[in-house]
Amino acid sequence: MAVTLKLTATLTDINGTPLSGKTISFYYSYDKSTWTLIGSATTDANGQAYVTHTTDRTTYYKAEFAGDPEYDASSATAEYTVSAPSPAAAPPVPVWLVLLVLLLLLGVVALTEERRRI
Amino acid sequence: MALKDVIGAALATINWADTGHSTFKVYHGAVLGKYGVTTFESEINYHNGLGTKDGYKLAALFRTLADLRGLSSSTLDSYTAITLQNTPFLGATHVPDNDTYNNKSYFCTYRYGQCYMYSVAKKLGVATDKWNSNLAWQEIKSVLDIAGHGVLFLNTSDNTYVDLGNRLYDENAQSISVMIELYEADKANNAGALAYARDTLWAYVNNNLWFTDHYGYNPGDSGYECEGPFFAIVAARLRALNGYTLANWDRVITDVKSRFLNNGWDSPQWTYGTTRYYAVVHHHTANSQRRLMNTIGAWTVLHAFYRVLDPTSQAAIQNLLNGPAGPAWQLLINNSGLFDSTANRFRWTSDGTTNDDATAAGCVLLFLLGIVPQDGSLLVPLHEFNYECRGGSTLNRYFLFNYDARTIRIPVKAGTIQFIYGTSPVSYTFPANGVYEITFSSDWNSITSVSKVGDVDPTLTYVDPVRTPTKLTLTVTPL
Repeated sequence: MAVTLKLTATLTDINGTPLSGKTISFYYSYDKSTWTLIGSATTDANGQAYVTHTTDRTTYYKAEFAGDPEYDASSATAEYTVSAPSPAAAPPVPVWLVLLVLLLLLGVVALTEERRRI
Repeated sequence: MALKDVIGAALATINWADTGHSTFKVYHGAVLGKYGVTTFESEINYHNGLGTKDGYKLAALFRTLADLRGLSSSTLDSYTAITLQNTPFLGATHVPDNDTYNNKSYFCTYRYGQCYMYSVAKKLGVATDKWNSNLAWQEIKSVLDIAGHGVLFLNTSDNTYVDLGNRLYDENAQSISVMIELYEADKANNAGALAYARDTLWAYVNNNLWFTDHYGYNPGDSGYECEGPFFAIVAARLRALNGYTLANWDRVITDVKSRFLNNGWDSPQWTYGTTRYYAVVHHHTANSQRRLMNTIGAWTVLHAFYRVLDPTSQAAIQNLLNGPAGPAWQLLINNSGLFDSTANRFRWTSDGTTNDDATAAGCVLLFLLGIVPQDGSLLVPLHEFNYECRGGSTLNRYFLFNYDARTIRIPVKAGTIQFIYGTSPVSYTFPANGVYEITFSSDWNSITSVSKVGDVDPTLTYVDPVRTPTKLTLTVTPL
């Protein structure tokens, strides 16, 4: 089943200070070999840039900052894993519970019949 | 014996009370914390007093080195004014008469710090009619145009020159260096000097001196020759001044890797034939002489280029400095022939004798060999005021090695750097780019204090622009 993901890249300098106004490029890959551009976004005041991507399988993601005259380039990767769906099996109902329910039903029927005779 | 012990023993052999009026000793002594501004003042005054063109030439070089070391004073300026006013020029032109060949006066493109004097004359407002960089570069260009390439000796008063082999560095790179220094003297008016260096001289080098994976000695000799590191400095400076872009820059990187790194200590610049020397060899196949100044140049370049090289080449530099073969400093003192381990002294060349000048320079080389870059490295500003950076290596005011205080000063690109002066390596992670002073414990096996003493000046020339490191994180969440 397809799921839409939010990719959040956070860019800081080496001291952890957020860097705003920087362009981040986002890529996806299914094999970590061929990367396809999802799109680019600009970091906000918190140093964060976002894109969304819809996938139906395990997907690898990469964000890249190309660097500029003031700051070095950097990149980061992440992975979204889709687990294989397990068959939906109803939990087993204990035999004693089935018997109990049957006994109760029989009891109710018996009481109803007795009252009808009275 | 640890590296710090070798440095200490070598330093103890030098007679610091006598400068020998040597730019080599005074400059390296300044890097080693032995000399300050008053020594440079005395030396300029002394050389002015000789009243000769060689005296004024050395006075100019002392002034250049004082500025490189960040030393200044009014006395320095007043003595320099005398140098500027009395330096002889070639005829009525604006180019110094700084050398003699076959009894004729020439301007030697080795420069001896004199091209920097155009900037000083402008700053001091002294003899600016003579030290006119705008006319100088055009007068020099007229002679180079006749030659069709860089030259060693040129005379601007009669447009003659002497070509001693059209070599990669001595003629061509040095002529490029002249042009880019004259550009730096007056960037607003001398853009033509930079363009000439880039479009004519650099183009000539790439059309005539490139051999598959390295630059050769001259157009007819593909050999690896010992000026390779200084050539790389000139090329990097040209690129930096050209806005950090330059045609065939990839070749310069390839040359550095082929020359020094691709085969570790078996790379051609460290070997004569198949013999490893762990120091720069004069010519890989034609001359086994080892050279100290060129080895300093090599390690200056490798430290400077480290941050722009690929991970494999970075690992190669780490392996040279402190790898399986042993630390570079130990291999140097045991195998290069440049160090007399009985006298604890260096010699300039493997076939020469030991002396104070070389020993001071050797200690500066050992200082560089104690620094092993990791994800942090040195931010080396690249300077080249003189042939082979003679009389002073390229290390500016950001570098200091004070043995007695167990303190070093280095310019750093943020990240981790390892130091191997003691018996055990010690690492430190520098949080930001800058100039740092690091103090070591008595055995130099640990660091007792680190302080940032300033920022690196981004307007100096580097192998790549000085940028702040960044960190990027990525999270993925379902919407």
